[in-house]
Amino acid sequence: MSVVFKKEVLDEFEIIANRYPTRRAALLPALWLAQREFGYLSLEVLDYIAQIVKISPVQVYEVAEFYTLFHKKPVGKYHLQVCRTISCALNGALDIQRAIEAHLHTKPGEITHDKLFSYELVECLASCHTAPCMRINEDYYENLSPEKVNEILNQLVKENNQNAI
Amino acid sequence: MTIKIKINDQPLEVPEGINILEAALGNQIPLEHFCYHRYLPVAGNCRTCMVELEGPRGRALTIACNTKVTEGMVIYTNSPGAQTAQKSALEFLLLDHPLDCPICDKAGECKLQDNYMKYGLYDSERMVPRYFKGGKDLSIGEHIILDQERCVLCTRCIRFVDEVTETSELGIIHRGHESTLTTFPGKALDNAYSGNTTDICPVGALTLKEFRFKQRVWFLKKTESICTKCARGCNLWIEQNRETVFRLMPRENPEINRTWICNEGRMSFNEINDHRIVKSQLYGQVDDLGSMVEKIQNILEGVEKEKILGIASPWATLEDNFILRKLFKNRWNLDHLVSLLPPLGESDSILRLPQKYPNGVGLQVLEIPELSKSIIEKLNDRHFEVLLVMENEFWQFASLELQQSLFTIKHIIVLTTHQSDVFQKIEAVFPVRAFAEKYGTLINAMGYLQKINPAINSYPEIVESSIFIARLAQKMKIPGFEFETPVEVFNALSQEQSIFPKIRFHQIPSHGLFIPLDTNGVAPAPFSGHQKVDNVFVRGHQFK
Ligand code: SF4
Ligand code: SF4
Ligand code: FES
Ligand code: FES
Repeated sequence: MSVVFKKEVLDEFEIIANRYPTRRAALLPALWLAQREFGYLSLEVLDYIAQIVKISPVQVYEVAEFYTLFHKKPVGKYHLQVCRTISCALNGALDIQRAIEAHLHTKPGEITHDKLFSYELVECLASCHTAPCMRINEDYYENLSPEKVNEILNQLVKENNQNAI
Repeated sequence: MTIKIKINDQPLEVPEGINILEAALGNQIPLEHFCYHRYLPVAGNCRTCMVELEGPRGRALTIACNTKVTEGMVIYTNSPGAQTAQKSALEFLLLDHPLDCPICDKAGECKLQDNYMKYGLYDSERMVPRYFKGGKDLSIGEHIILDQERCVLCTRCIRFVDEVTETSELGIIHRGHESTLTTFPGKALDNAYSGNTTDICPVGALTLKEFRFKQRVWFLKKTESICTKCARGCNLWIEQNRETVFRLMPRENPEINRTWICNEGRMSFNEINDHRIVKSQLYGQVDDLGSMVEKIQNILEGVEKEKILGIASPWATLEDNFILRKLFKNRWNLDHLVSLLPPLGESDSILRLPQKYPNGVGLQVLEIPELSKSIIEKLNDRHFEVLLVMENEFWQFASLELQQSLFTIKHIIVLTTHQSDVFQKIEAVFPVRAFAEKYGTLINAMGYLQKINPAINSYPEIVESSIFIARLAQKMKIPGFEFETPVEVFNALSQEQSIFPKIRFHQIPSHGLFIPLDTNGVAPAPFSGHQKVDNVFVRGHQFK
């Protein structure tokens, strides 16, 4: 096996790394790039990042494991991050969770069989004024209700099928 | 420069630039601590060393290990505020700690136990369920076992592999109460100094495979000694029970080895216990000591004095080599006393030196040269009739050619400590005491005269090389060999060798005596810059 960045990505990384006074400071951006490129951060990926950032693998492992926003297992094409912190909780986050679980037949931390969706619970997404809310990949979905959740999920399936054609 | 401070209303003078923790401990004021280690960077993460400082706005809590003393500082380690803070920090550390003490190798020298008894003594008031984490006996390297739930996350081991060995094999993953010490999956903690992590781990999270379940630490008796595995001469504790050595532990010496030793030195405890010889042997067969001594006495008295070749040893003490030299000087030909040195071995910029013997400098001081061309020529001419070898297992390292010419000498007499197959080829082998069994002195590569002390006395019937030779000389009626112990030999030697200050054995300090020698410049303590400790204030205080 060999996990390596494509030439363009490596160039992109070098540009970022050059912005920092020390190379190890570029670790977080390197992990972001890796997650974008490989989908999730497997141990092989972490080992590779250690090589290009020039630090010890366990130090990369520490950082990757510290942040929940880094995925250590494969995630679906659409990754749902549902807020469970207080504002959302008061505004019905639990109903949102139930709706998602019923729709996708998954539990938090799991991925659907078709690998289309994965789902996890996260702490405050800093969008309390529009609680309850969730994030799908890079996008925010706000003022949710169970009906809205179903609508969104159906829409995403449709979108995926269209792209496939 | 010293400054004036007050700890618990007691006025003190301490060196400028040290931290409050060192200032307190150095003045016999106890203060709880886990994560602080004198030879590692300060991390300040355990928060158990809390003290109160008097300030303009009243007293404030701070950690002692990361606060430097300043002129006029007023510190309280025992005020109610400080004590509550120390106790509470400890309570958090102990919260999810398993009750493993009865099966934990650290029990008896564990900081968690000691600190609980000294600063804790509260009743457990757990209200949340216990959180279980990690594996209990993970083999994370050739010598190391990790127990993740015993770890108190002090990061001493991480700082050691980051700063001292610069190999960075250890890290902490996850967060909060889930934080867990680990290696990168599939990668091992294997560096030449990995054993030290088990010493500095304040709890039983990192333990040494070679010591696990071997002995409860409170049964071990400690003796100050020196490692003999290379020319650095790291300071050691030999720890034994009932004449078996169970481990070698580093003994703090700021100049020579700080609190570290290499794995090779640490593992050499096996050699102390195993494959020792205790009976004299004639061509590999055990024989009566008395008659054998008589026999070699006859040989030595019968042969022409020019025909005796002696091999001294960089493994033997100054005393042993001194007596051997004295015999050659007084009776035989001093030009025929040489030493054989093994090839250079592995070294690095931490401790290990390439000379894999402890007393090469001692040989230089006694002016015993290495085997020279002229001697080799004489060997090839079959000039010698007697070969007298003292504690030098040249058959382990000398070239085959040299070995062959040495083994053609008619009478071979060997004083040694460990069994070998070559004894069949050797006329007389006499057992002598090994380094863990005797008094003696060694000079390390930096020029420190250091002493070794007997830790075990398993074979009271055998004597040190120096005393063996002295007794032989007495039998041969050579004057000047009236010695009963190596200590007496040293006292005579320090009078005779102008290079030593005229001191007696017991006056040599336990951290060695620096002798300004021309030792081809091995600099003291070549630790890299960021590990420099400017102010080692509390000598002798044991940090673990
Ligand atoms: S394993 Fe020991 S030394 Fe390392 S962080 Fe844990 S308690 Fe500290
Ligand atoms: S560095 Fe040399 S003296 Fe020190 S422990 Fe290792 S072998 Fe022994
Ligand atoms: S609590 Fe959900 S976004 Fe802040
Ligand atoms: S010893 Fe000071 S914070 Fe740990």
